[in-house]
Amino acid sequence: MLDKLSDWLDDRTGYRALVSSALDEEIEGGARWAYVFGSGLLAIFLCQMVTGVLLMLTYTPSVNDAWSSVYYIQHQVTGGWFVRGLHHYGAQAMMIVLGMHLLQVALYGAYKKPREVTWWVGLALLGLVQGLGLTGYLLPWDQKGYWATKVATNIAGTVPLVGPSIQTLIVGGADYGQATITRFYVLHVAVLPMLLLLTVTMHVALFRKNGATAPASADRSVKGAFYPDQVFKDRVCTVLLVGGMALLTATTGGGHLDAPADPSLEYHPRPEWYFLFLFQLLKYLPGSLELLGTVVLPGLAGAFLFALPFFDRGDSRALRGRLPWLAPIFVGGLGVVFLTWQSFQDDAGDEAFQKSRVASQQRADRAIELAANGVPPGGPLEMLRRDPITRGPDVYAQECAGCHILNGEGERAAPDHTGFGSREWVMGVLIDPDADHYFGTTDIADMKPMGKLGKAKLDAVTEFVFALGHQEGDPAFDKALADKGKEVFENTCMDCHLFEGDGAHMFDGPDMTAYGSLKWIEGQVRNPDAESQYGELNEMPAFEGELDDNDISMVSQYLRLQRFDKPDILVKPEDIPADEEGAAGGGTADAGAPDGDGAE
Amino acid sequence: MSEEPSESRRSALKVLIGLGSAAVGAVLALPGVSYVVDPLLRSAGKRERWVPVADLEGLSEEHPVAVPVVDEQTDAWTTDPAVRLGVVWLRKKGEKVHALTAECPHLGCKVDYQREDKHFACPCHESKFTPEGDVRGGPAPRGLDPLDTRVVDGKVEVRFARFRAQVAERVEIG
Repeated sequence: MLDKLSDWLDDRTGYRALVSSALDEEIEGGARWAYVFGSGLLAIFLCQMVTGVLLMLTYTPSVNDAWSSVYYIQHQVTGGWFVRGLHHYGAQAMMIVLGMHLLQVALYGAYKKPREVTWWVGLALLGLVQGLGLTGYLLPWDQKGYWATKVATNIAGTVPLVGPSIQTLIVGGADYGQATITRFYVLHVAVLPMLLLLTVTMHVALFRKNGATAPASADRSVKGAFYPDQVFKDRVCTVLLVGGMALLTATTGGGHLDAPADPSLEYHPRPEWYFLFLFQLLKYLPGSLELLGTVVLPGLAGAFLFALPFFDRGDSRALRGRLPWLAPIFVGGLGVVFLTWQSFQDDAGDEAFQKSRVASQQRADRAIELAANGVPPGGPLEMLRRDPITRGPDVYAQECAGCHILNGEGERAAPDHTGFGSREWVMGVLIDPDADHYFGTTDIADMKPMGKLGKAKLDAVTEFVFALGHQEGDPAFDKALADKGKEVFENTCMDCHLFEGDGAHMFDGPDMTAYGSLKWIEGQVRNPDAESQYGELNEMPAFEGELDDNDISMVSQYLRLQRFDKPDILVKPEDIPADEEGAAGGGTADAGAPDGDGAE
Repeated sequence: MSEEPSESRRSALKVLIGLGSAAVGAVLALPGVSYVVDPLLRSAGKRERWVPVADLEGLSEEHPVAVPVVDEQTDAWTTDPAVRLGVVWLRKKGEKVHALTAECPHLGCKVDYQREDKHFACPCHESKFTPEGDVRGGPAPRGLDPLDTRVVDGKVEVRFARFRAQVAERVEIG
C-alpha cells in the first residue's frame, strides 16, 4: 500500500531522483569529521529560523513594548524561556562553529581553485551572521542592547565621508528610538535572513558542484558515501550542538534580560562576547588612530581573506608550502582570542564596571518583579518611575546625596539617613543629637542630650517617637511602651517641641506630630524651612517646585523605608546609659517588638 | 575507512541518523508547540467586577441608551487601568436597570438601536432584536445577552461579560 502510494508520488513528482541526487554523493577520500562544521551551521541556522519565527509571535518592536514583550516571552509564555534560550545560544554557537569552519577550510586549502567562489560566498555568510548578531542584540531594548548598539552605530559613523550618513540611515534619524528599533527588527527578521537563505543556498550548491576538499595527504582512491557515512558524522555534530544549546538553556535559564533601556542612567556598555576583541582593540587606539581599529584593520582582515585564493595560487594543498599565507589567519585568530581574554580580564578587575553590572542587575530583577503585575501603558520606564524602590534611590542620589549619607553613599553635611526613623536612629538622636551623623554638621545645635533619662525612659520615649511615624500596614509597635513614652515625652520634650498643637513653651523646635510618617517626610522634602519643620535653623533647600510630585513622593517613600532597616552603626549597646535607679524594664523596646524588616 | 561498508553497518548508521534527527526535532518541537498553544493553556478568567457605567437619572424608560464600559484590563504584558472594554445598552425599569450587550450573538458585530422601528439591528447579517433583546428576525441563534446590573447611590453598575457567538445557549467567555 505504502509502496504503491510512493510509486504514485514519484510518478507525479520524481521525488526519488531528487532525494537520490541529494544523498547518493560519493566523497573522494571518504567521510570525515573535519567536514561536519558546514552542516552544523546549516542545522543551527534552521534552528534559529524556527525559534526566531516563534519569538516573532510575541515580540513587539516598539520602544514602549519591546522590553515588556521579551519579559513576557521569558517569564509568561509556556516554553518561552526555552525557545528564547535556544535562539540566544544558537547565535553564539553559530559564531564559534563559523570560526571553526573557516579554520578547517583554510587548513585544508579548500579556498583554492576551483572553489574560490565558494570561499567568497562563505565570507559573505560570515558578514551576514555578524549582522544578525548585532541587530538581534538591540531588540530587547534593554540596557545592554541599547548601549552596545549606541557604541556600534557610532563606530559605523567613524567611516570617512559616508560614515555619518550610514549611521543616520541605520539609526533612522539623529536619535535612538522607535525608528531604530523598527529598522533593526526588519534587518534582523527579514532582510538579513533572506540574504542569508539566498547565500546559504549558493554556498551549498557550489559545494555540491565541486565536492569536499580532501586533505593533501588523503588517499583519494578511498570512496565514502555522503549518505549514510558523512550524514551520520554530520548528525552527531548537530546533536552535540543543539544538545549543548539546550543544556546551556536549561542550566542558565536561557537568555538574560537586562533592565529596560534608559538613556538617563549611567551604564558601562559591552558588546556581546564575540565582538569584545574589537571593543578591546579600541582601548589601545587614541582618537587619531581610532579609524585603524574601526575601519582599517577589520577592512584589511576582510580584504586579506577575500584575496587569499589569489595570494596562495600553488597547486599543492600541503600545509607546509602554504604556511606563509595561513600565518596571518593564525596571528589574527590568536590576536582575537588574546584581546577577548584581555577584555574579560579588564572587566573582572574593574570595580566600577562590576558595580554598574550589579546595579543594573538589581534594576532588572526589580523590573521583572514589577512586570509580573502588568506593565502600565506608559511602558517599563514609567513602571520604574512609579516604584519607590527604584526611583527613590535615583532621586536620592541626584538630589540628596550631596549633603546626606545613606548606606555609606553620599556627603556628610547633614544628618545620615541610614536607618532614618528607626528605633535605633531615634535612640541615637536622643542620646547624642550633636553627633556628626545627626545634627553635628548643621546649625541645629539646641537639643539637649537625653541620656540622663536612663534606659527605661529612653526605650519608652524611643518607642513613642518611632510610633509617631506608624502607618497602616506597618509591623505593629509596642503600644504599652509607647504610651509610657508619651508621658515621658510630654514631661521632657514639649518644652521645645510642638506636638498635636501643643508644646514649644520655651523654644520653637520642630513639630513632632506624625514625625517620620510619609506626610511628615514629604513636608520636610517640600518645605524644610516651614515653621513646623526646622524653621530659621534650616539649611536644606526646599524641593517644592524643584521636583515633580511623583519624584517627591518616590524619594519620601524610599526614605520612610529606612525606618524598617536595622542599622548597627547608629547607636551601640554600650552607648545606651544604664538606669540610674536600676529599674526593671530594660530591653522592653525590643521585647515583643516585631521584626521591622518585613516592610522590604 | 578502507573496508567496503557492510550493509548492516549502513543500516545501523541510518537508524542512528534517524534517532539523532528525531532528538533534535524534539528539542525544537516540544517547547515550540507549547509556545504556540500557550493561549489555549491560559484560562480566560471571568470578570467578577462591578463597573460603574452611568447615572440612573440619565437613563430612559422608553429607549435603550448605549454607554461605554471602562475598566482595568490586562492585555498580554500591559495592564491599563482604564480601557474601553465595549458598550452596553441600558434601559431604566423603575428603580432597576435592564442591560444588554451590544455584540450580536450571531457573529459578534456591534448592534445599533433604531428608535423609529423600536428594535436593535445588526449591521452585518440583518438580525433584529426587540428592545428586550429577543430575536425578531435574521440568523441570530439567540437574543442579545443580558448583563447583571445593580444601582449603588444612583450609579448604575454592570458586571461586564462576553459570550460565545453562534450558539443557542449562553456561554460566558470572560
